[in-house]
Amino acid sequence: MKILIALVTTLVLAGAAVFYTVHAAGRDVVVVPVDPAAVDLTTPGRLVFRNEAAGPDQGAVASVSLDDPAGPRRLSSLRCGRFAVSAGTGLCLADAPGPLPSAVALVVDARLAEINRTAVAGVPNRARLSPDGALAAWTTFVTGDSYSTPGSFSTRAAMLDRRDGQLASNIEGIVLRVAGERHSAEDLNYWGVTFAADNRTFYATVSTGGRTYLVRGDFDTWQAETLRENAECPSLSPDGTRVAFKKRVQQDGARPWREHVLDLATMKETPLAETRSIDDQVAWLDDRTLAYALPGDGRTDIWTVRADGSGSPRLLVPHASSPALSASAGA
Amino acid sequence: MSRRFIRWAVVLGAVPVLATPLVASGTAAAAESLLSQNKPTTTSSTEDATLSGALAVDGSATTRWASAEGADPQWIAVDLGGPATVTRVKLSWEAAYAEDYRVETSNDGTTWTTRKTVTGGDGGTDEIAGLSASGRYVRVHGTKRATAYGYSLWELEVYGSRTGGGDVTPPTAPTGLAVTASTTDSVTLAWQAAQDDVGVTGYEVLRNGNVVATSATTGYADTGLASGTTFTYTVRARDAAGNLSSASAPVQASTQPGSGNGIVLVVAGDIAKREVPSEHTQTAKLVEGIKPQHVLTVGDNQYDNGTLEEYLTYYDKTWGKFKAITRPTPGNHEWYDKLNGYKSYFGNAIATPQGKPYYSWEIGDWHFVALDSDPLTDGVTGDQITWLRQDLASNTKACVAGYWHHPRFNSGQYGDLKPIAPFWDELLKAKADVVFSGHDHHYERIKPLNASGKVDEANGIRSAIVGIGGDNLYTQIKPRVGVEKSFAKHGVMKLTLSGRSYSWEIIGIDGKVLDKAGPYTCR
Repeated sequence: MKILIALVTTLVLAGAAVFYTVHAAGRDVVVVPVDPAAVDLTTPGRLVFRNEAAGPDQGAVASVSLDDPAGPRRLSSLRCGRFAVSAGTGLCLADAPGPLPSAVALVVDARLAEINRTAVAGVPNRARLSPDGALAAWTTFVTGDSYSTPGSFSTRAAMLDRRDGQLASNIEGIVLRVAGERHSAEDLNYWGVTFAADNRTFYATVSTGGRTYLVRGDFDTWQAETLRENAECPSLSPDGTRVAFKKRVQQDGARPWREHVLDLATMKETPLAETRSIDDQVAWLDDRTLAYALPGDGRTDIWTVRADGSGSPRLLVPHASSPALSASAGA
Repeated sequence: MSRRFIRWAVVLGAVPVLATPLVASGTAAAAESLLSQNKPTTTSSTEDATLSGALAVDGSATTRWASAEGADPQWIAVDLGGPATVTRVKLSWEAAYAEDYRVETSNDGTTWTTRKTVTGGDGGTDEIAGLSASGRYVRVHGTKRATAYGYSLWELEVYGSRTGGGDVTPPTAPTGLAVTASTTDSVTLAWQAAQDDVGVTGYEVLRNGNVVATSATTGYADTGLASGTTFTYTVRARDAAGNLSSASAPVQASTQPGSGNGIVLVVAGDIAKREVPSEHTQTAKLVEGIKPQHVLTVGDNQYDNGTLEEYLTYYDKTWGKFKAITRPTPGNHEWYDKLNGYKSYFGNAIATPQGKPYYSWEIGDWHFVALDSDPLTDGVTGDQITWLRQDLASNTKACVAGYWHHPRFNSGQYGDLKPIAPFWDELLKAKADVVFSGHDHHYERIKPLNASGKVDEANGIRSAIVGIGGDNLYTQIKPRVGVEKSFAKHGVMKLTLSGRSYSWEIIGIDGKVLDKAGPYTCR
């Protein structure tokens, strides 16, 4: 398979356009153009993502030029379920071996060398860094007990303050107010954290009592309050004025979620032109443009759409997920 | 806190299809009887000493064998004592059941013949009838776990008839069981030989009802025990056919007290829960053996809401024996009843000796602050912090300990809890020595930590989480900075104060020491 990739690299360099699937050793291997240069999180104008092309490099952190997003990708040897980038720093949430579902959260430098490692319970789900990289947050799925509710799951959201190394391995203990009232419950689940540039304000999803809410939290006072219902996996815009989120529009069915953008000043929501169901914490490429992963037909691709509800979705990077902008805010 | 999600299981993908055990058709064997009860077992592994193979053939549907977690394959075999025709095998699975397994028999315990293969098992009770398998040994061989745990059977029952005669008469019960010696961590026992028509081959030694050893002779030295603790022993005899005698008359044996004539206290939390009565019954038995001067609870003493009725129905029947010497604190579960049940049950003199659910008390060179952490988790510090500051300021004792429900620093599922910082930080200022908490259902011992949770041997506070008093354990521990030891096993802390020095042991429900800490000196 390495031979195939090398071969295709040559073809790309020769100017050939390549996307095809090879049936090898009993499973599909997707061959994509490869650029042999190393992934560097400080290189401007590149989209960093998780390579989803089936084959030996699936799961590797990769990057492409935003000028040619379908073009050759740089591949690293770092494998992550979810990857985030801010200010030349990366956060990799990866599966870890163990009898129980386990993960590891790795903070990495611009060349993807490990700086910090945290053992985490559960299956990787979301990862985010604050704009200057000082705060990291990740979410895992932890699977429920078999006594009463077989197969049910809950989530676990953690925050790491890289300035002093303090880790909140489960933010469920934050003092929460729901619609102004102090709320404590055993069924609390948080997921999908996004940070503001002040390294203090954050947004996340909380579920309790069968409802989901968008919460705004204060990292310093360790308090949080709900802002509205039915808004999951928020992603704060670079200018800090809006969050993109997924809104549940069907209880079941093929398209449970529709991605929206919420104006935090007016609390007005705008549905995006993307009508397919997005189950992702989307990335802002700039204040007007979103990128997100969409699975379908046995593959996952990164798409992009305008943040104001206009236009139409466009394929950005095939066979890719977990988009993040290199050399983004702060760099 | 007690969650619905008590332990982990991975039940991904398709729902297991109902196992379809054979239904007996036609000729049932003439005289089918239970052949496996109390017969010797062997297992590939056990999850811990209190979950031995013998508990799957003891006729009790409330005790069980469990294999090590997270590994395939695992098995349990029973020796029927002689050649037999096996007609039926009945399996009562615990939550940790097998999705795929085989039922096998053997004449020699070495070479096995598969008699039934089950795939897609759904737990519960599997009755495998219609067998006509000859053999002396029966093995249940799990090849695929349904969950992330191991394999666990409440009961394994083998029915059929013994063939070719063989010895079916058990030995007489051993007599004259006596303690011949004891040290701080061991007890030596001796007894009179049992009689058997063929011959006794060995003895099983039971401590507090659990088989802890087999002995080929009429004596046994039980080691690794908690100091200054009383245990109940019995022995029973076996013959070559595996027939088991009834138990001897019990004898009480105590280990010698540890070094120094210290003040002995017990610390534990997360105790009495309706669904798991045997756990807090067993931890209470430990407390009885330790004979402490005081029992300190770190909250969630009674589930689910800590109502008076719940306290009287469960806690009172076990830990209630020590009520008069208990220095309790409440947890979130007591707060679900707004502390009404807690206050009614313990009474004002114990629950609110200084008018509030927080208070201080003294013994020897020690000043203890017993705090109510639940309001802090709601962001309410209020009068308690003011009181705590004044209480600590007026303290004249050399040593200071604090205890409450929610840990400030924690490697368990709840992690570090910032809202508890006001307690920790006040105790840091007062140069307190040690803090005990519960809430997460495991044990961990943590080096002295400063306000931000970094190790600071000189100025930090040592701490331990002791949420192992009876409720279901939480096994997902990711050790944080400073953790010296951690595990998820039921037990209690035996804390010994010796002047300005202190130490503790964690004693598991089988009476073994699971951790030793100290001695440390107050700062």
